[in-house]
Amino acid sequence: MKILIAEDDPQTADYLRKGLTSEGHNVDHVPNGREALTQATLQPYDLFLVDRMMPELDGLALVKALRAAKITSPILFLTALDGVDDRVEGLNAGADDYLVKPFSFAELSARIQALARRPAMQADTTVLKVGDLEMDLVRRIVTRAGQVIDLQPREFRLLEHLMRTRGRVQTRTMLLEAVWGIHFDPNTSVVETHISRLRAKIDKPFETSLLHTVRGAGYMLGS
Amino acid sequence: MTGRHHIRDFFSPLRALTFSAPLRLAALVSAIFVVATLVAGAISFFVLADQLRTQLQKDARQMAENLAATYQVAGLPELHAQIATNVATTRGGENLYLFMDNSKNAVFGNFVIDKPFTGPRDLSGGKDIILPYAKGNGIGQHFVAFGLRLPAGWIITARDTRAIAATQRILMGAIGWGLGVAMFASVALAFVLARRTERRIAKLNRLLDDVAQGNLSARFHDVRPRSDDIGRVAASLNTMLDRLSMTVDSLRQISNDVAHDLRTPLTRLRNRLEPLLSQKDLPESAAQELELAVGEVEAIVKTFNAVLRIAQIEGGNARPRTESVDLNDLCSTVYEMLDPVAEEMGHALEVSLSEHPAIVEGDRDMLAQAVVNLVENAFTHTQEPAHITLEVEVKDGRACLRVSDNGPGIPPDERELVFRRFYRLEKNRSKQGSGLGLSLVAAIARLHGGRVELADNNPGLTASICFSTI
Repeated sequence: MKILIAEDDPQTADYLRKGLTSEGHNVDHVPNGREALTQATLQPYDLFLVDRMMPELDGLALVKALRAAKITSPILFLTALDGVDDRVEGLNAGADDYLVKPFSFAELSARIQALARRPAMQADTTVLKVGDLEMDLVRRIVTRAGQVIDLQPREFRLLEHLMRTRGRVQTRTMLLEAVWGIHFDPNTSVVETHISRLRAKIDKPFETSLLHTVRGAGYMLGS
Repeated sequence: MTGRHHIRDFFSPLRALTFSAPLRLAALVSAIFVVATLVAGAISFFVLADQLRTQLQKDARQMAENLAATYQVAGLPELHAQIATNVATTRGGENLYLFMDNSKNAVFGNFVIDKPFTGPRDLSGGKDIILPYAKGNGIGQHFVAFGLRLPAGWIITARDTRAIAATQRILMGAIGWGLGVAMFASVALAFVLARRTERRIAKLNRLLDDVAQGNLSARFHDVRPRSDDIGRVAASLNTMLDRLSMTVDSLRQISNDVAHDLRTPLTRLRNRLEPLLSQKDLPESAAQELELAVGEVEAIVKTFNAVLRIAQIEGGNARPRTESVDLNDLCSTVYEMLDPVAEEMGHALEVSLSEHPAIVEGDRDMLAQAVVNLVENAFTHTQEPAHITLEVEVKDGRACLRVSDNGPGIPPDERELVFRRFYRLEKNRSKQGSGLGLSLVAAIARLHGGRVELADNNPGLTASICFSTI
């Protein structure tokens, strides 16, 4: 993927560039919003990483300008403090997702993956499939290898999300946002508990496991 | 807490007396005034009665001496005529006259007595004397009398003491009406003044309660610094609060700066450790250690984030997004999120929603965090198997969130302290948690115009926050 990083702090920018390059992305970096806008009009990018606080043209204005210029590539908004307002403002301005600094690279990587594949989500399918696991969204029935698995509503929602994002790492915070709609991290192991319950139903009785733990990052469903 | 008492007691005079110094003072002054008035009344009552009696005794003696003079100058027939004239002219039998000869027979006069006497004496009608011409023979009438010995017999004169009683009645009436009205006016005035003072003191109290709740921006308005002592106290309080909030602000700023500055190097530390985790050739034991290390760093960063988040909310930098939040909906989400965690930890979590809509204005995410923190707090501070209830109640236009457990609870004197950042009960030092959970809940509640109330659940703890509904 071709990614443009708009970030004024050289250390953060350096860390982002190294990490993303090592994952095989093609990365450009600009230190302010004005240059980012110029760069974005010169060549197409698959994704923008935009810092909230930047000299000359700040992140919020940059996002608005990009959207006004009909550039539709996904934008990941980076905010310095865990500011509630920043998050909402960024999303309202036209960003697709946001990350609160300091974030882990795994989190960033997972979210970039999610953004890149976003259009591929089959919103109108009624049956989701991962390996021999099947979910009928209309009849709300889950089967694995033809065997019906009885799920509680919350387990169903969690599994549905994991199936829709199959093959991509979902971090704890991504799951909390998608399944429960909360943007903070509880102190108890909420996600871990729900995952292990789900695992006990969809993986335990079968030979191969579908729900994988990705060390230091999160969870992933895939055959 | 005391502030609220003052408001309620305002309508209950008896209980107000026990709470308010000015009212007590007013009551005391009024009581002293009443007693002094009554004593003064009683003294004048007796002095007057005594004076009148002496006067009547003098009158009786004068009457007797006048008659004696008549006898000496003009003789018995003239005395007889004089007594007859006197008897005829005395109004309503007020004055009594009698001449008894040496055989102790009543010779003439308007009363009858058994035995003559000399000198002053008190007489009762019907007992000592009989009044043949008066109604009921004069029973119940009292007289002061004077007897004189003449060579031919005795002259006895007497005056009715009704005048004393009548004058006493007039005096009593005067005291009753005049002093009574004055007393009532002064007592009423004392209470009005006391209540005014009390109202100002109650206002001061409310302000101090407010400050005690952590609202350091509260100030006593309408102070008239030079007006009186209360005004001066209020002005001093305002000055003190200005200084206090400045000190607290700078302390807070320092702690926020520390959190902020330490977060950056910690983030870098994690950024350095993290890529190592994905290295495939790492020995399993090293990978596990590394994961634990990253976890620890994450926990520290999380603590700092919590500190900064509280600071942000308290500093007014985080305006809550004003959306309509259904507390019933919110709590059922939190319940289904935390119920498996409760089971895993060996607790029983229960949710009880209100049948009424519990819609409040606020930031859904913050409110969710407050509820989650309260429930998680119950998880960590109770022995399993604990029974924890998450409850929504709608009452009198207010929606309340309530989390109750049957754990060890918090001693009453420590309930306010647990809202302090990093404060932890002595017995919980070894347990997990940053000591920031309740501070964050308190900050969120305040931002939404609510307040976290901790109470005894007998046994256990009940934490509740109430909001106004829309």
